[in-house]
Amino acid sequence: MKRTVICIIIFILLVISGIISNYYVKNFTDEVLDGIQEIIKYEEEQNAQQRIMVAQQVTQRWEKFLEQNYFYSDREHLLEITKCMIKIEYLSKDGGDELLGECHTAMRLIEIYHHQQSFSFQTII
Amino acid sequence: MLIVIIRAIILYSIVIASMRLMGKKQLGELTPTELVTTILISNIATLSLEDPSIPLVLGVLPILMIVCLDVFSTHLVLKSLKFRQIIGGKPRIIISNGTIDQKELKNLRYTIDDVMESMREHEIFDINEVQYAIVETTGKINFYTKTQGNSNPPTAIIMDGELSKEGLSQSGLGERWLKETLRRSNTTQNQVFLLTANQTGAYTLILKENKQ
Repeated sequence: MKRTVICIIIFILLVISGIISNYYVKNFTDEVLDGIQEIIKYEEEQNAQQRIMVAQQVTQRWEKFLEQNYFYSDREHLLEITKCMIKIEYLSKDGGDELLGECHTAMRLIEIYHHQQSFSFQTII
Repeated sequence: MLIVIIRAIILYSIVIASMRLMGKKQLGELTPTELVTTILISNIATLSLEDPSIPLVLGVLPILMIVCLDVFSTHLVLKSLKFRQIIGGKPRIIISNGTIDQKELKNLRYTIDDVMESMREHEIFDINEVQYAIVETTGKINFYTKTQGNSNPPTAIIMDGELSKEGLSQSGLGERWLKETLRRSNTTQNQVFLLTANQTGAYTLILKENKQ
């Protein structure tokens, strides 16, 4: 009986932590995607100051997320996104097509990551 | 390198703790479900050991989940005879009253060579000596020889308050005998922990312990 109670507690904790992490990833990826879209908008408006500032904020935010997510997410995928975020921060100083290209790559990678982490029939299968 | 060593220590501790949590039966002969659980746990444990890009948590969480599922299913197995038979299967009689049940052997995908080999392991070299043989849920064959008795050994008729109709028909005793036996013992089916009987009607009855 004691064994069953311990397992019920573990099971509940696992389910709760799964739901929380799912919710956290969803919120965070939405936030980063919004940030990258803002960079694209400022690039199109040729607003260099805002573009650089938002790029720095988004990169910092990503690094914070990385620290928290590093112990339960696929590290290779996170590394790919991190590479893009670093390039975005660097390229935001000059702007141009290369920055836009990098922004779109990062957005796609984050969307894939979001999809991988989200609770759906496809990801379970 | 150091990460892999630390991971090995952590995973080893977790797998040992998981085995302890599941109970000692995991260390003896394994039923199909126990075997599956053990294989799964050992395989999952090696995943994050082999590949450092996979976080340790992703190796630990499935192990914990499998342990939980195993403990839950064991709990249900203790409560329900039907669930026990679904999960673990049931023992099958392949020789009864000295006669081989060829259909049952075919169903179990056992050849006569398997039976003969198992007989030899039990130091029985003539099939005529066998009165009764049963394939356990672990796949092991157990024999009851004619020198041990001329009739089949006792079969379980009531287990944990649940009637085994198969056991009753194997014993060759009818429901009338069962009702009469329960009446004579001044008990009901629900109060019985185990009732076994052989074809001659000799029986053993163990009542459930009263819950404190």
